[in-house]
Amino acid sequence: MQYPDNHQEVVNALLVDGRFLLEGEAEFMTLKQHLDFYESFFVHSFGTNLQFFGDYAFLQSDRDTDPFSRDVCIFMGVLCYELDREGYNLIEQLSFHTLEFDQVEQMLEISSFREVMEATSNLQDTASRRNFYNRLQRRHIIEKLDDNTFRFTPAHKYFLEFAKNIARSRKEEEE
Amino acid sequence: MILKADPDKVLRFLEDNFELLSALYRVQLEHNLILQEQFDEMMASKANVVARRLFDYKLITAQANGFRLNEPVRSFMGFLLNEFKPLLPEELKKYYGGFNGLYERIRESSDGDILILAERLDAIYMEVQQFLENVESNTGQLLRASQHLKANKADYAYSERIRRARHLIEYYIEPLNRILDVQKENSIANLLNTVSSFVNIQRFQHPHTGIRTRFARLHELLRDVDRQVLRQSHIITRELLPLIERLQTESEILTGWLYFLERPLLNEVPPMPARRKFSITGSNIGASLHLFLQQFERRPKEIVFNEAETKSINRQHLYFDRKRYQKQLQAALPVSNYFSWCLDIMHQYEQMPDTERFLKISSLVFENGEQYEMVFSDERIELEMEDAVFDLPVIELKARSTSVAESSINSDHAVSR
Repeated sequence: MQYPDNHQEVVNALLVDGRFLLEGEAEFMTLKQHLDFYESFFVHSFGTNLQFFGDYAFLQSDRDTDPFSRDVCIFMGVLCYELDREGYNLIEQLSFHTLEFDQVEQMLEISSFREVMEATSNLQDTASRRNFYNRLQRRHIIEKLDDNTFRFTPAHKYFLEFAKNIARSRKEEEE
Repeated sequence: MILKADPDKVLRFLEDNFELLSALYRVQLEHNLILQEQFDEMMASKANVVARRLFDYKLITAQANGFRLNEPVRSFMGFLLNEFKPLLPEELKKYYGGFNGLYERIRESSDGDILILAERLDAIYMEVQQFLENVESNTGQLLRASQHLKANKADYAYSERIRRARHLIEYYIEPLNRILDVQKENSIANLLNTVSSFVNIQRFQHPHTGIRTRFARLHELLRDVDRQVLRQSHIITRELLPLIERLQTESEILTGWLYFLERPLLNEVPPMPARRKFSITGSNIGASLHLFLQQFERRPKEIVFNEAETKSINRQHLYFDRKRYQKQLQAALPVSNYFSWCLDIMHQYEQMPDTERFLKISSLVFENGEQYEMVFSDERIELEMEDAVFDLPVIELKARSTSVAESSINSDHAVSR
């Protein structure tokens, strides 16, 4: 049986590191070319579902979800709210622009959702958030450009979709 | 209609009372009618003569339950202020019937009566011109309405913004897009295209010169319309629709997050892969190590080490024990290579050996020169310090005859006493 090139890298990235694969990476290309193979490979070997979108991919499992996901949602939620409040073009800002950690920190500090952040141990203060940013970077949700600037990778769309779905299902409930 | 004044006088009145007329226009734009109370309120601070002239000059007409600006005045004010209500696409659709009817008639009568053909051509020219103006002001107003919605987000709640955005898309922008879409069979743009190709042939074929000129003029206009419609259609697809859609998705995202943040620790979250550690030397060890080391990377930069400062401070505290070196030198005699002996002895006794210290030690021999006998050889030696390299002669040092040395030591004692 022949495995695709980069097979080990693909498995390592998705399974071991639990990170997002992004368009432009060699592993993503391999995944794209052997999509059927990898879909069944991950289901049969590890019981996980490969989620493949136009510009990002990751593994999803119903059994074990990382608590990190909640931290990301809270962070994204507060950040989106603050960006919008400051009059930024939300989608444009997240998809195409760079952000500064200083600026983000400032926004989070004065946010009306501070209580929520303080109740989340990984986001409660600047020091723990620095750690959190590193984890975001490790999962390829953000890309650090230098010490102070970063930008979101296409993986952030996964969380925006999540928010959209909440809004839609709430709306349906109301109707 | 009898005007009770010269036209230029009316215009001057309009200029003098422009603010009043703009206010009237805006009220009518909003409510379709100027109610008696509203009218009275606006006229309260004006002289009676102003109100009378408004009616005398037929700028305003009385209606059953209020007043209206006369139609030509209304459209003129609209043009001046560039404020309209966007036309419902149904209103624009009436042009389809108009164009189609006139086009059919023109086709039928193109070989018949010259007079009626000329009149019909003039009519269609006017209609097309009007249509174009309407479309332009319409897209302009829609763009403005969307931008207003986007810019004044604080004024509307999220749900209200979505509702307004949907309303604009559903009832104005998409239908307008259908009207302007050349690809669609029943669109006005498509009909105008057909008319244009007919006119293009007629402007050469028709036997009558006057008619040919009219066809040519119409053709020019239709070509212009084609360009304009394309531009308006671009504004719609490139600016309006994305703008409105973005407004809608943004609002959706924010509404979603707000729902989520109401109960952030209880709501479900999207599944995300956990990291799996298979072995101690997994591929993430490298990354983690890098991360771990990263926190030290910046340390040296943060602690500023000022060399000049530290040195001068230490120098003050370090005492140069001349006597000790003198004794050492005496004990070591004869020395075969004086300078390298200096270097060795410095490294032996000094906590912070440096060039200056070395120079001090090597000057010992010159202080009590009469005690020593120096033999210079031709050889040279290179000694390396931290900040300099010395190229020095090899000197052999011996003690001079004892009597001379003793007498000099005695004389030293004499001086010190």
